[in-house]
Amino acid sequence: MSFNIRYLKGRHALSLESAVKGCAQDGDERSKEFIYKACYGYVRAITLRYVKNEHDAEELTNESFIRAFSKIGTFNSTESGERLEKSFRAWLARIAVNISIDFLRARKQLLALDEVSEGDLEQQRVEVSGELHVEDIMKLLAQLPEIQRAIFNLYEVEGYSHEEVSALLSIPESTSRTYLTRAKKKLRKLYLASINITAGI
Amino acid sequence: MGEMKEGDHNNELIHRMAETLRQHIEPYRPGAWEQFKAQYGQPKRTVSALVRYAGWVAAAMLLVVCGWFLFNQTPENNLDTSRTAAESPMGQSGSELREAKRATQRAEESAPAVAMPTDRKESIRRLALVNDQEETVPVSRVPSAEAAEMPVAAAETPVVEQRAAREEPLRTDRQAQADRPGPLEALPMEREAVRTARRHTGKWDLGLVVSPSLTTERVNMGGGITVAYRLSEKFSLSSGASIGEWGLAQQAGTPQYAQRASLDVNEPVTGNAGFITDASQYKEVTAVTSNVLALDIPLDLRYHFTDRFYTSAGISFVTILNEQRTNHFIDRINQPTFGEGNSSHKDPVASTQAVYSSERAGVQPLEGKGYAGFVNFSVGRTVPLSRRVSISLEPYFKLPVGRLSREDMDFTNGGIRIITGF
Repeated sequence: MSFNIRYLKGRHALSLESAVKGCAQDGDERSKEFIYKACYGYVRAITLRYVKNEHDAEELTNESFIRAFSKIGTFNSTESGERLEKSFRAWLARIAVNISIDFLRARKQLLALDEVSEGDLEQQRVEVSGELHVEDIMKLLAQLPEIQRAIFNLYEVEGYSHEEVSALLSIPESTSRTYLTRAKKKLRKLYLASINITAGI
Repeated sequence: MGEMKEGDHNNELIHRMAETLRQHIEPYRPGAWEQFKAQYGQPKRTVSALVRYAGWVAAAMLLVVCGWFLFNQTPENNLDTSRTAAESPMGQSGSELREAKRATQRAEESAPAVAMPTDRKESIRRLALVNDQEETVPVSRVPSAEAAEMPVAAAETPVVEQRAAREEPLRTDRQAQADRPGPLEALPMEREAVRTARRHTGKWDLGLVVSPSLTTERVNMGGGITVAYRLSEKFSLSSGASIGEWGLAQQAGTPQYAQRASLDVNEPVTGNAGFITDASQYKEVTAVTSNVLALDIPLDLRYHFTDRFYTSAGISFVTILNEQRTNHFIDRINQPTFGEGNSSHKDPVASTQAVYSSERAGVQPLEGKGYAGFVNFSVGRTVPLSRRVSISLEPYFKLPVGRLSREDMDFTNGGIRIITGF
């Protein structure tokens, strides 16, 4: 005989689905807390890909939740269960990405830092084994210029099209493609360099 | 073929990187929700409510202060100086004086056990008759025994002073007063400064000021605007305009030249020479106070120790817009001797009653004068209420210098400015 723990706990048990619905209906504080705790790591992982500073990433994470809670009424999904949760996470990810891009644009460093030549890139040691670890990839990403890192994240990780990237960053599509190519090239170079360092040891 | 393999390998590498990043979830940081709730939750709303409340309070206080000044500027009582000044030295009503007359008569009928000269009695009777016909105002009375020993310096009557302070200042030339711009009309420069400041909000700081202050005479209230221009990160130049009503006392060591406005020089002197025949001639001036309405324009250099703390020093230009002087007298009359009808067991000297009175002076020696007036010192602390609104508490001290310090009134004052900054 199996019991679902959430039913044993009665009204105190929440799922992401019920929390999203509860938050949308009456702005329930308990639902917000559940959503925040359930999605904090997911949102923070996104913001950390765009900004190097952890404090900035924390701020962007919180701002993403503020915007999500205030706009949660606009989140419409006819689905339920896991599909709804996946849909909600995608919606939340889009908010986090937009806020991160806004943050970078506000700092006005998005384009200025692209002039870094390949020779300026630090040869930072990256531990690489058969598996790719997030920490290692983040170290490689951190060595890219911000505009290239943003385009790489948007296109390769988040799945945006070049058209969407160009609209989001207010750059031509061709520039988006060029910067993506450069970003990938640099990543490969950095990766190989890190392998050589490791092999040299 | 080799290039294709390399290309596939490279794409695979990028795909693996992207997939790894996509799947990654950061661990939950303990306390993150609590911090989020504290930073962006309920307290923020409380702060904004507090800002709104503080703004309303500051606006209301400023409105009250402005209204108060405007009200005080309105001429209501255009009293004749000589009539106003003709207060009863005994401070009694008509019925009391009639009773005094009857008592005097009874005293005359009875055997005069008290050694009082007949002419003195006559002069007092005249005094009573004169005062019976004149407008009288109540003044505080002090029982004879204590009053006889009371030092003159302590003979000021706060009740009378407060009443005098509320009374409309005397206007000998009403038209001239009407032609003069009011205190709030006299600030076109400041209005222009405000407009300019709004155009350059980065360098300019604006504020509304309410400043209770303390002179040697009483607690006063003032208000106005302040404008500051940031010269550098540490220094700023501040100015503005404020209007305050100050109650002033005479400076120590200043000779009292209170004019006896109540003295009727046309009163025929009767009786024997050498005896006082007029009520006012019993009076001895104990103090002169002044109530002035002043426009103060400071020019201060402010040094910011930190973002919150600053100190400033500078000078103020002062114009006296209006003045009302009040003379304070002490009279010694042995009137109760007669009131009891039988003065046989009373020592006429010991039973002398001291009566205190105040009257408006007919002169305004300070009115209309301008001075390069004060040296100002202050320290302040700024408490930000929001990104745009802040409140500063600034204790200050103003020391009169130059001609202002040589005036007979003591202008030294200090207080605290409450500045709502925008």
